[in-house]
Amino acid sequence: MTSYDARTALDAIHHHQEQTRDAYVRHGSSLPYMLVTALSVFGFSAAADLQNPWRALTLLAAGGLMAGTLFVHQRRAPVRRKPSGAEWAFSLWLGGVVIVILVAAVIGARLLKLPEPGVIAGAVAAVATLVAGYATRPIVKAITRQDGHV
Amino acid sequence: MDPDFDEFLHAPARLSIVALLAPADWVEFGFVRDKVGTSDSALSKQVAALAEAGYVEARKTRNRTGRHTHVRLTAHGRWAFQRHAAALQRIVAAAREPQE
Repeated sequence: MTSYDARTALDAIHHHQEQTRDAYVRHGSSLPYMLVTALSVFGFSAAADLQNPWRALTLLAAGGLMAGTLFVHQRRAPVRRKPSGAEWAFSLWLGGVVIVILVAAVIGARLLKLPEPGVIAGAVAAVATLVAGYATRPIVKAITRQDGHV
Repeated sequence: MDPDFDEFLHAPARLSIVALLAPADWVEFGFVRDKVGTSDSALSKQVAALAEAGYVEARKTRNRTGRHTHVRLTAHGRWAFQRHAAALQRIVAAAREPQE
């Protein structure tokens, strides 16, 4: 075993580990799941402008869509791993940012006396969800890289 | 030779499989096959050899879209892989030392 052979083997190891991490991150923020998640966020927000029973039905539909998406997402993942504490913390922070944007959009729409502020804020939050999903890919990948592997 | 160097694990196909499994809990068989660039039967043989050595375990499930196989490193396999990678790093570092 020469140092060149060892270096080559290590490079191959790192390359394959990156492939696994790439697949994990790419699946986590793939377009169909991001679109359905954004639609759910929009549904939750838009429900605020509706009267019952449409409000309850919209909330149920958005909740069902979110739960179904999570289930299918997990079932179809080529790479499965338990999220680390850092990944959970980052996801919660990101969710918090989307909620802050949603609340700010509701307040803004009400201040501007726009019709259906929940729908407008929902659209803003849905776009924010899509942007956040793509923009944070490198951060999520960096977090998975820190997760104690070779 | 470094005592942590694992001759069995160092075979290129087996090292590729184990490296692909290392950052994950479970990995789909098809994903490993595509990334290693091998056939189903060749990968099955390597996975069987790794399972025989106690390095990996496979799980078969069936759902509406057909049968799926997932593979993961056992605790022993993960430990052996980490020791092997550390041995490789030491070999590289030892070769660098006299020059620095």
